[in-house]
Amino acid sequence: MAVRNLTRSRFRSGLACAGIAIGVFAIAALGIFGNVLAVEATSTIGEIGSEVVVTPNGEEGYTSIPETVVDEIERATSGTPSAAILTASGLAASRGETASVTFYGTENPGAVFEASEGSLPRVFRTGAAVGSEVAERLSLRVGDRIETEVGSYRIVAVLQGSETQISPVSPDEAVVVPETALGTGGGYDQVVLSGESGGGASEAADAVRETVNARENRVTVFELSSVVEEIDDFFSLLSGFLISLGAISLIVAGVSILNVMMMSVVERRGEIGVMRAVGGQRGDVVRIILIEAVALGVVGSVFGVALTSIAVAALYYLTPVGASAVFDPGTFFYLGTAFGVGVAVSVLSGIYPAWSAANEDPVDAIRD
Amino acid sequence: MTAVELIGVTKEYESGDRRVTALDDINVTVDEGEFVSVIGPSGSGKSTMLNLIGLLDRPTSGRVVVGGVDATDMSESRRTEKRGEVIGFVFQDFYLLPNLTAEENVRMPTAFNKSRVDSGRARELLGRVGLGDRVDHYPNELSGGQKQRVAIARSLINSPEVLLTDEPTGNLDLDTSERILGEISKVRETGVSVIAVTHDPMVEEYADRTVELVDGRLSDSRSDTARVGGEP
Ligand SMILES: Nc1ncnc2c1ncn2[C@@H]1O[C@H](COP(=O)(O)OP(=O)(O)OP(=O)(O)O)[C@@H](O)[C@H]1O
Ligand SMILES: [Mg+2]
Repeated sequence: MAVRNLTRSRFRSGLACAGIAIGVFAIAALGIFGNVLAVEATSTIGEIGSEVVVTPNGEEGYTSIPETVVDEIERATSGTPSAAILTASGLAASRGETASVTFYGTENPGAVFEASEGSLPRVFRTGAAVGSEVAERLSLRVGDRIETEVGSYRIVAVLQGSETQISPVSPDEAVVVPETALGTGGGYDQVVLSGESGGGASEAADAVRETVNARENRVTVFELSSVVEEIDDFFSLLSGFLISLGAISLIVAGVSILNVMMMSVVERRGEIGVMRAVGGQRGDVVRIILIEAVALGVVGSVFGVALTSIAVAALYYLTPVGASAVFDPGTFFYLGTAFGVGVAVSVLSGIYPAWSAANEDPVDAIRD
Repeated sequence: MTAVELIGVTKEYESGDRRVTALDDINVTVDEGEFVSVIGPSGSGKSTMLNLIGLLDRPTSGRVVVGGVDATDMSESRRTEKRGEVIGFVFQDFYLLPNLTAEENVRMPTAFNKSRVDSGRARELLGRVGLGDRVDHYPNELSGGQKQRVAIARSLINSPEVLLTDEPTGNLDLDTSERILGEISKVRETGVSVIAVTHDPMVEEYADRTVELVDGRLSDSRSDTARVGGEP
């Protein structure tokens, strides 16, 4: 019966459904797109979260970190793997090919880099590890020799590229050599601490600030995890903003359902009065009106979800966005939530018309 | 047995600061199976009286007894329930639901109570009012008189004890009026009381007696109203 009442004023019901569909679409689509962006972004920035970079504080006139300060840092952060690094840029060559590279001198490359071929020694005294781009440019493999401005080395490892791991020291153009190769005794350019987790990293960062910088700001402490946090914050702000846009359109849709139901309740005043006269209780009237509102809401929400699914499929096929981002659980969460909210909005919009129809005095309704 | 009793019933309406007395201290008794016609000029309180007997409205003072039960102080939901059980209404404007067929309209009241009534009974009732060939038509496919007959069939679906009709022959030609009045008379034989508001002298012919309302009071202008207005 409810369905037949709705088909009676097909155009009006259609508009109300379309309103709900658009509202559900807006919530779901904006929520999903926000989520896809966030998933894509976090999978790109992936693993940087747990590193802390300590550099000399240029503003206070420090240009390097002396050995004693490195010791202080290591003591303050005992347990957190760290590498004191010297940096220089220069040329490297092999079999007549030359490339410009960045030299990193450190005793402990394992704290900063990961090897994709070969392995990084616990204590680095001989040999060199090269970045993937250097390896490609110079056609180097583990076991080959590389000639550089700072000496000739046998390659012990090729480093993982930055696509899989973002590092504060960029690995692609790196040639990592033992510290002694660059060592001048003047101190280090940076110390990298690799925490196990974001929490561990910020603990280590705090420890460095409290000890090394206790009296004077000798070093600058930079936490990548804080960047990640900011990015996360940004994305939750973004999706909150997008979802509230969607919510506004759903509220508008709710008002249009309210309007449709109100109009139909007024139009059917006499009919509702007769239902009450022949034994229909107030509750029966409420139920009938609510069922109609819910029917509008469900139909609208189904269309909205279908529309969103098409948009998501288009996103997947037409843009380079990956399947893992598109089919993230968040996508289904937003689809489900938008559907639920669409139906809930319709129920809420139906309550007032239902209430007013049920409380109409049947005598008045029938008299005129 | 008494089917309906109005005891000292007054009904006042307040519109703005004016008070309108639609019914003024009236006493009416209708027996089981009795056919009473109610006449009177427009605005004399006829519809108001039907609404009170039909438990749609409450009197300002006095008591309303229907089917031996004093319904004056019943809760709204009890009254609604009782309406569904013992009252049959045919309204002045029929009020069929436009999106239901004739048969579904006749069956509509049963949607609100526990009694399962099949479409067979609805079809039979439509047949009795001469609409056996229109059961699946929608109200907008029916003439005014046909709609009225659907409304009459609907009023009988719950096998009421009291049938209340406002102008039951208002839209009907002579032949159909006779047929409808014949049907109503037949219903009475099963113990149903009929109270019909009318301007139609033919209805008065079928009725056991006629009650006349003038300005909310019972008038004694008619010889056969002796039982009305006195002690029940
Ligand atoms: N809800 C109301 N509010 C105010 N006055 C009302 C209301 N309902 C009825 N009345 C008044 O009560 C009086 C009786 O009305 P009622 O409808 O019972 O008349 P009626 O005899 O059925 O007239 P008709 O033959 O025209 O249908 C009228 O004066 C009417 O104006
Ligand atoms: Mg009237």
